[in-house]
Amino acid sequence: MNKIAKILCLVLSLMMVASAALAVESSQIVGTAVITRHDYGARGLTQLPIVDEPLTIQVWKGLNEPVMTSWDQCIVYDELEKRTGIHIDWVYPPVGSERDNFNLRIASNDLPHMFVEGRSQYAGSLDEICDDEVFMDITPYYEAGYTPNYKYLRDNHEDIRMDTILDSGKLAVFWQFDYVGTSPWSGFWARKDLMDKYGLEAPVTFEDWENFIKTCYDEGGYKILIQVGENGGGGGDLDTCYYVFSAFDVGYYYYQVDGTVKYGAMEDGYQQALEILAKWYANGWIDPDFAGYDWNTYTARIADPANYSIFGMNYGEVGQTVTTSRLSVPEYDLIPINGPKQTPDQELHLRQYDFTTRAQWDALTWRCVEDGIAEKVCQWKDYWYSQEGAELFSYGVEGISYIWNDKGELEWVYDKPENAQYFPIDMADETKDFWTVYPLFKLHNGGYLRDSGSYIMSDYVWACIDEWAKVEPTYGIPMTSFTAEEATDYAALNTPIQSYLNECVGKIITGQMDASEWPTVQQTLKDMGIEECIAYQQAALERYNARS
Amino acid sequence: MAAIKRTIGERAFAVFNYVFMTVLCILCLYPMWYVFCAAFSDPAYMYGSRGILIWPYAPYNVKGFQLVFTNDYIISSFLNTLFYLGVGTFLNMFLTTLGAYSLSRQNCYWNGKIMKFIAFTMYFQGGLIPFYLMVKNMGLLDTYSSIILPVLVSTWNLIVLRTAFGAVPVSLEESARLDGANDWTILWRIVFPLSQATVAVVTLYYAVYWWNNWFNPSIFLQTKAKYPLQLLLREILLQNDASMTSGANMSMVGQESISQYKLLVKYCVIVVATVPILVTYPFLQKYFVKGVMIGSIKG
Amino acid sequence: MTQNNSKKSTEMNLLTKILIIALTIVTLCSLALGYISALDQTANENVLSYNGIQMLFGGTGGKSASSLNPMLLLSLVCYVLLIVGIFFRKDNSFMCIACSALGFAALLMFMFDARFADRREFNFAEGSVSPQIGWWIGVLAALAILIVAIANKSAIAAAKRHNQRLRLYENRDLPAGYKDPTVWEIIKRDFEKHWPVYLMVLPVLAFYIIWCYGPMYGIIIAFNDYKPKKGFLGSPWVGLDWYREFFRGPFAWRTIRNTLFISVYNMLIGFPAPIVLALMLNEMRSIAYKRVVQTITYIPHFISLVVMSGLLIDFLSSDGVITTVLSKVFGIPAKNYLGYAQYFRTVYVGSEIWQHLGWDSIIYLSALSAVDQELYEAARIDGAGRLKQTWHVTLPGIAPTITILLILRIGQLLSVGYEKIILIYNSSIYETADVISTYVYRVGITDSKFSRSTAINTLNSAVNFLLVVMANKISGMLSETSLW
Repeated sequence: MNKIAKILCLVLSLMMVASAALAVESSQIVGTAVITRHDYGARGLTQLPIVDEPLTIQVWKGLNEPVMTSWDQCIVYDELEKRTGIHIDWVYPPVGSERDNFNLRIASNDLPHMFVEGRSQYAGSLDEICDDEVFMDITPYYEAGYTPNYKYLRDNHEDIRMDTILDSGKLAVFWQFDYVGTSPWSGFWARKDLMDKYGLEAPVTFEDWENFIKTCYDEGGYKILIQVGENGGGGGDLDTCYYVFSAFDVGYYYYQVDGTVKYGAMEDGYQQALEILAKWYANGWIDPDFAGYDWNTYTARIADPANYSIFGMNYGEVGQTVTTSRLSVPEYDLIPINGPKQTPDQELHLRQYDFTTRAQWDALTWRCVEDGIAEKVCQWKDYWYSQEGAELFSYGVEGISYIWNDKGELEWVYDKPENAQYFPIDMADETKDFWTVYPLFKLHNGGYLRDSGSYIMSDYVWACIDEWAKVEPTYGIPMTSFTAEEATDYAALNTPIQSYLNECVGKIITGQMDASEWPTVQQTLKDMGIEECIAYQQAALERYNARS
Repeated sequence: MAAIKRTIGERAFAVFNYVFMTVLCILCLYPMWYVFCAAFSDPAYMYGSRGILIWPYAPYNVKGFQLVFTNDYIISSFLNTLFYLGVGTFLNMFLTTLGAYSLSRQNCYWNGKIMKFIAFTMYFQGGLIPFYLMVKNMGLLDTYSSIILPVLVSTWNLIVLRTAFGAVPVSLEESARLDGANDWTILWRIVFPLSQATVAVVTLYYAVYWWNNWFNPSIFLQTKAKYPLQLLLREILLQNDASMTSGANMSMVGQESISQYKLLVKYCVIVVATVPILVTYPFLQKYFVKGVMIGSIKG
Repeated sequence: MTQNNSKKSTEMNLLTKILIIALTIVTLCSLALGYISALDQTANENVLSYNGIQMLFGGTGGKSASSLNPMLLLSLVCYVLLIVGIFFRKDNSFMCIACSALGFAALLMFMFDARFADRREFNFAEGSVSPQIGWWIGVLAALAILIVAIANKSAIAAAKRHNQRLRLYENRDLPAGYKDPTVWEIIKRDFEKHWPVYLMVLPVLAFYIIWCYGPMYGIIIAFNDYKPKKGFLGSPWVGLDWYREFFRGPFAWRTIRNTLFISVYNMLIGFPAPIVLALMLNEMRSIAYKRVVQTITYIPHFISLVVMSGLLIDFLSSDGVITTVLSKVFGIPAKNYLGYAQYFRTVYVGSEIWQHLGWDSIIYLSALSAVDQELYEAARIDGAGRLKQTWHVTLPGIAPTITILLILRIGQLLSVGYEKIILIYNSSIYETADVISTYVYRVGITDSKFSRSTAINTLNSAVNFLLVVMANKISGMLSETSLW
């Protein structure tokens, strides 16, 4: 089922790319993604309005949006209140202190009714926090039928069903989903304009890569930029150096081969990958400062056309990067590529892994139980997953921010207001997309049953999804979960291991340590308990595979 | 003979001294100057290069400042900071002076014990959670008081002021006592004026604390209208970073690149956060230096 | 005659001796019996049957009681020493305090040690009265010894002062019927004389009680596994587990070493630097230029941490301003200085000094201005040059300020803030950049383990506190200046 879903979305995205590619041979950015109406299935099972008497609940949600100063301005929540009758009293953590604020509220038992996007703040075990009566486990309400839409989604999508349940059998929290489905969103990009200039082909094997990098470096001083370990805002699967390791059939951290969990650093091939990176670094091909870049510096650096010939980037940034770079280099162009291979027809097994279930959840807290409104809040939250709710969160209010036209396609309503401060420029009609309408109506950035197609702005995105998806992430580990005890022990062992590994990888690449010392590192990792960690991961994976 | 030699040595030292100070000034000033230049420079240029800047790179622009000042709360937060700074520093100084005077008195049976009691808190704190609960249980969350009350006295400053008060000659105090002065009068008429230099320093320390304060407000405040300037600027800094990567405000700065403005806004925020204090400081310093002078003459 | 009457003994009086010995015996007995019964308990593994001794001393012991706990052993040794000392030494007040304090501390450690005792036994909130009365009697007795010892020491100190005064006024007659005041009389008289002073300190004291001591109960979570729902006292007791975990972990030594290196460097260079600057500023004749220099050197202090870190990363990168200058002027090959472990300490300490040099000199300048000008006159008349004047007049003049600041600084020896390091370090330079606080941040705050971070923090503060107490003591011995 999982595979079918994947193939389906692959086909879907291929079709979209094909249709878009016809329209734009000239490699101009055009943001016309055609959005047709999805049938999410579940609709109208909740009685509206949910409450007869006005009810106010407290919701904690970070506000990091340039276009609004409070969520009350967002038409989505305004409409939601109109429909459900439940008023939201927003609690905002200060920007940049979200995690502190979240932890402080939990620690001092000063809880709102719901934490939005808690996954970014909470690293512990969901089992534990539910058992501690901080979060409210939604399972009993789920079983009692208070969340019909969420249940419908789980019943009809195997991957959602498997991803949203803990091994203890708890559902615990409400997860977010990408409806259009899974696609890689991070990978390598090469400079198309440099290829044309120096007569190069898109690199495939290590030889091609080295030739490519060397030519660009010698001719124009272009380097490459990789993400390793903790830099670049990644964390394991987001890092593009992952791709280099994947040529040697090892993962950067944990990966699985046919249900057996392995740790890249303990396997053969890891050392070879490091040797190659170290060689590149010694040749001056890799940006010497790569280790010190935080996420913001990283994105700023890759957007400068004078810097790199190959770099890793999320697809969300590609449009901006191209626009920016064309200011100084008009012929600037990018092409998505996959990681280097040993032989041209080697099959890679690892890439950035992606899920229908987004790595983000909202948690109802125990305060709902204490206030005796748990059922109502569950119903209200469940409405977010209904057909109307999904459309509301994805596109805004029908007739105000969008309409369905005769062909059943989505059309954004776009009227440039007289004195809208965020609209200093005129946008061509065909570049209208979610982001142009978003500040106008103050829509919701992110959704619960998100139509991710509505966010995609350019053909580059479709092209890279197409290219990157050529690698099947068969070695990826799905969204497993630990039990409370496991989580504690695992974190105690794994946190130092991970930082030690990153440290050693950084040292080897920058030449502060020789790659031949890798067996010593492996021994140290062993002493630090890597085998126990692998065992924990293995157990979690087996439990995941046993889910149905 | 000896006198001449000394003068030569002194002269050499004076020359060295002035040269050294000039170099030091350049070292201290340059990074700030760099930031100033960068804030007014062409963002596209700044974006690509990280070389040395002597003067803003043309074409000059103020768009970064426009972006910073489009924030609705910038004025109110500035006024808030002035409020926190004024009221906070006044209360700080009042209490610290009282405490420092009392604890600097000799022969008081309890003083040593109280001092230990106070110094202990420099090293052991209950931690953030009980601190937060304390504010919450007093019903102070999201009030101006929650910012000022928990930091009324800084132990470090108390110790500094106490040391200065302790250095005031006892003879002056005794003669005042013979004239019938009580402790209150002695404090405000003798000890306080005589320690003016240190009082000025401690006031300055407190004032700078209030100017830079953002951590407690970030915990206790909910309402943006009560935010002090630094917390707001911090938000702007982070907010611009975050939102610009999301591409959401692409239209905000026009067709030129947004990412370039990420850097620019950063520099502008530094300027906004630093210029007011730099502009006022030399004026304050006049009084401050005067205080030091008075202190030296009388002392 | 009066003199003889009021001459107080500086030796421990008999009553105190007996009291201490009796208490010590109680402690030792209860500990020994508790221990034996704990052994008993382990013999029949987890069977909760109490014999008579166990009912009284409640040693349900625990799993590892069969091996003698080192803390318990240390405690026993201390108390034995205490008794021996009391019998064989004359002035034993210091020894008394040292032994009883160490013994008590060791005993507490032992009691907190969850590995020794079953965790549940120490969990007050679960309702059942702990059967381990024996242990607790021991602890209370030990506490009593400590109190008696301290009281004894202060009584003896008071007597010494008193005798000193008598010696001072030796040649005078004390008034007839003179009696030494009791402690209560001293307090009463003191209050009558100084009540305005105490009235003035009252609001300050109230502040400290409410805002500093009020939340201090929070430290308890360093010894339990804090669960918000269960509260501070109700959460399961884990004793010293967090500490054990920290010290067993691979990074305890490295983080401690890095912290020490950074703060020692920072102290060796960063502490004298503002003093030197202040002295040099003081030597400047031109008031206007002096003021300009002052103003400019304060500027870096106003740069916020986030910005400062951003600038550092920017300037030290392989094409940054500092790197460019170093490579162009001094011919050092350009590299990213924040990518190499060997440069981190220099970068950190250097930037700290750069940022705070001018600002820290303010306090010395103000102290300098308070130095009596007449002393300079006198020195000049004596023919002292500038250097000699500085050495003999200026430095002694600001010595109290320097001492106080140095003591405070020593108290910070084991604390390097995490905020700045977190912003500038990266995983390839952890070798020198990872300090205690950053480690706590990564492990604790990031994983929402409140107890764990509190535990390491508390340990850190305790060490700092000990350091500052020692520094203060030494300073009090060498010079007259001390913090309290």
